[in-house]
Amino acid sequence: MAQTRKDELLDHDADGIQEYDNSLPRWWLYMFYFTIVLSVGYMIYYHLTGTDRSMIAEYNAQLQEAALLKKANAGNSAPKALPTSPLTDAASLAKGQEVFESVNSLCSTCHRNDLGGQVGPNLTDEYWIHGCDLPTIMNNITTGFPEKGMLPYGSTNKLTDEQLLQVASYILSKKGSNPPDPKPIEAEREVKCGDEDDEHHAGEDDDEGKEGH
Amino acid sequence: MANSHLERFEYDNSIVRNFSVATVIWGIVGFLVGIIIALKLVYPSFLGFIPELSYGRLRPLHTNAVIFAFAGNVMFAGIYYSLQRLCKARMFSDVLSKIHFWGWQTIIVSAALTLPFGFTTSKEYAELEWPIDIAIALIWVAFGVNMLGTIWKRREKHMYVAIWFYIATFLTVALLHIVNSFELPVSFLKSYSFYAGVQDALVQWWYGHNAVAFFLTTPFLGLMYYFIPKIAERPVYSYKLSIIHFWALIFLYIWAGPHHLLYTALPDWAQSLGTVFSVMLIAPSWGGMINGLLTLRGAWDKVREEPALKFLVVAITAYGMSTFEGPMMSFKEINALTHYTDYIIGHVHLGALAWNGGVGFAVLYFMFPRMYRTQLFSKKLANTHFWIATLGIMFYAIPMYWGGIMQSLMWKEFTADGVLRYANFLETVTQLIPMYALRAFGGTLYLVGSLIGAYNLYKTAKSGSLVRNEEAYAAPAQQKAEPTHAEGWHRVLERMPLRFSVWVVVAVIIGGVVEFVPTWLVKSNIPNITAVKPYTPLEIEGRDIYIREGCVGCHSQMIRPFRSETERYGEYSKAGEFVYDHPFLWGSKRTGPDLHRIGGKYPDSWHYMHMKDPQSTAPGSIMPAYPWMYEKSLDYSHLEGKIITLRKLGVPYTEGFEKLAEADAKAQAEKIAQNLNSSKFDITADKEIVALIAYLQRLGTDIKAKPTAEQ
Repeated sequence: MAQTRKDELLDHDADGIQEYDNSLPRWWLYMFYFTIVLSVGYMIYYHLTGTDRSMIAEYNAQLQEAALLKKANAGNSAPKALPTSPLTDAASLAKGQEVFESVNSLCSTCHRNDLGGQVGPNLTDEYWIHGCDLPTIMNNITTGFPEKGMLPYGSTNKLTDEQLLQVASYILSKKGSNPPDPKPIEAEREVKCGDEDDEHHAGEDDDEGKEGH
Repeated sequence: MANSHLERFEYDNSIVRNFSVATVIWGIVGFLVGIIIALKLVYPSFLGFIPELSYGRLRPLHTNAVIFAFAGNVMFAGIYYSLQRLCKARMFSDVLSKIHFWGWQTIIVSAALTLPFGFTTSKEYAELEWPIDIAIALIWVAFGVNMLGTIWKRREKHMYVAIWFYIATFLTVALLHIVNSFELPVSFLKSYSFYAGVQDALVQWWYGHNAVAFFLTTPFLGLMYYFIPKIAERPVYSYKLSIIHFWALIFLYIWAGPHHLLYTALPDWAQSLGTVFSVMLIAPSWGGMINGLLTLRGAWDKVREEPALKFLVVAITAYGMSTFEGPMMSFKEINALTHYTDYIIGHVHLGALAWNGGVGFAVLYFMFPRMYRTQLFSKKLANTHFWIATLGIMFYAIPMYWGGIMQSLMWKEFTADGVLRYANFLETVTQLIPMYALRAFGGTLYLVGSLIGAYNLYKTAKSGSLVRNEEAYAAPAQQKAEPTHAEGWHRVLERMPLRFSVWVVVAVIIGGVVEFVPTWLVKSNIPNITAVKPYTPLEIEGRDIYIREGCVGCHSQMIRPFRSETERYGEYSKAGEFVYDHPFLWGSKRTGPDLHRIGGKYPDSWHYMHMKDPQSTAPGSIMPAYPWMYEKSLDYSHLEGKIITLRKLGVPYTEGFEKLAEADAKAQAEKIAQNLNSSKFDITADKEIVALIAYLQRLGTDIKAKPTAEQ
């Protein structure tokens, strides 16, 4: 270590402890100066240049970037045509049931193992809140209803397209199974599903989950 | 000194022994509670679901025990030992020493008797309720008077660098504690913070950060400056460095609190001050490390021989690492990654276990043989303690660092389609469980090491006998020769404790004032939001249950303006939303998800099931169940007082509302209970869970646009 003076003792004595008169280590001093200059520069850069570099500006930039990315992606992938008729074979339905009850997909924690509903609605009756045909159900599973606590599953995320079809088919297969003690019908829906006009078509209702009927 | 007349006096070793024994006992208790809560994150049902042993209530007990009982007692032990010797004087007053010792232990016991029972202010490391806060202030002043009195009657002309650090510790902690503990009592063990929301957060982290600085750093640097040269028998490397790094450290530290609040609703300028003052702290912090390590030049053979020096070397190295890591995490980009994660838990444990624990055990190993006039019972056992402790620290810190970064990256990951890859928060938690298990193992190793240390110290004490009053001789200060050459300005200052103390206060007060005053006075720092209304009486009760159960220990209420957070939780949190939050509940760690926009997200029934058995709604969750909230009836007896207290603090409840509050609460509870009953849940309106649901359903909803009418 390059010091101007090296290890000269001062005439200090504190309970036998002595002290050297060594200078501040150069690298230490330069590091201190560097952090001070850096700090001044930091404050100027973020607050005094006239450009808005606040955290909210940063956030808005993130949103913009995401929106651009989404637009670019939307051009690339045509909406997938979803099947319109459910699977009915026992093997597929068993697989669908497996998905429904599995810990990872969490359907049963809100809709119960027998689909009678608890936190989420009863899935076995005819009073559907968000539509009851196969493509609609598949879409709703995909996008979820995050504001109601249902996370997005489905092809983009947790489930493969095949599993998605299986679980949706399984749900439809339980229609009319009349589980004991079902969740009462929600006030939001008094009309039986299918009795009304609004038709749901595959690929058209991307925003379904966001409307919060 | 041959020409001077020597005075005979005695060092008080009994008080040092008392604080040392207390250190060992509370240390073991504190570590044990730490292991219990670490295990609860691996096995949520460990020890069952007993209110007094639940995670949320034990966590503050753990942090308080380790900081104020373990580190506090060892700090006092080391100060009482070194201060007397550096001043060549007995402590100012034996009575004050005793008051300090027994008062401090009583405070610790009262913490153990209140925190597990849910009496907490919820402000981190300042959880104790107002009567205990007052007791802390009084006992702290007793300590300070005793210390300053000893300095006053010293037989040395100059105050050694260790004493500078002790003075800074006393003065600043007094200031921090008193300002942060401003609260208005509702009842004997319930109070509301004087400050609300953003201001409360700023004061709290000014306190929290500087508790680390002036309770866990400056006194331990002081101890380092005494014990390293003593054990190594080497001169301190650089007196100049001592001066510069001392003043720079205490001046800069106080500003850095806002780095705990980056990307929160705190104004940007205050956040940036937190960043840059943290960065400028690297060199002053490292000054202490350099002076410690370079003092050991030429004494490294002693490190091989002397277990106490081994502890000190690891302690100083860990101090250097932590004080580099801290400033790095104060940069926005890095903070965005590490904040709210277990990385922070790793960081603070490196500091607590290696730095505070290392210095602490070194001091104990040095003092015991001297106080008992004997040899250390077993060097081999002390070395074993050292290696087990070091291994324990690694098993603790590495999984926490790794897990913290891993979880943070999962929180932020988007798929190509622009949706969160781990939309279910729980998926990011279950990945951490192996890390939590390793951490519990690391903590256990550290405890085992401490038990070995305790045994070794006990046997050492048994092999000698305590020299309660150690004889010493020194000339009175005024009889010592005047220096032959002119003294530097600082050398002069070292002879003037009063002037020195004044300068310390000046140095530590500037940063706080510059950050607080504008936040209070300049309206634009906390823009008003008219939609934000005070909580209903039932929601206040629910909020107090949330505070009581320590929910804030795992759940934040502060959504940062990141796309990954607004996608997951909803609109980012605004300063104006917290103006009625006495205290603020932003939290500092997300073991569970943020709750600021939880209101209205799930039906009441979801919360009902979730709190009763979290695994029913979230299989694999490590959240504990709260069965007692379904049995205990709400206690409205303080509701009237709560409304009045909050009104005094500026929450606009109309005059006379306190008389209607109970009826209002009961009506709201009845509605929620009916809603739950309609979902086939058997609950009555008088149960605590109903109030908690009311509070959760209110959270973050004020600024949400009214939902569009049903089609």
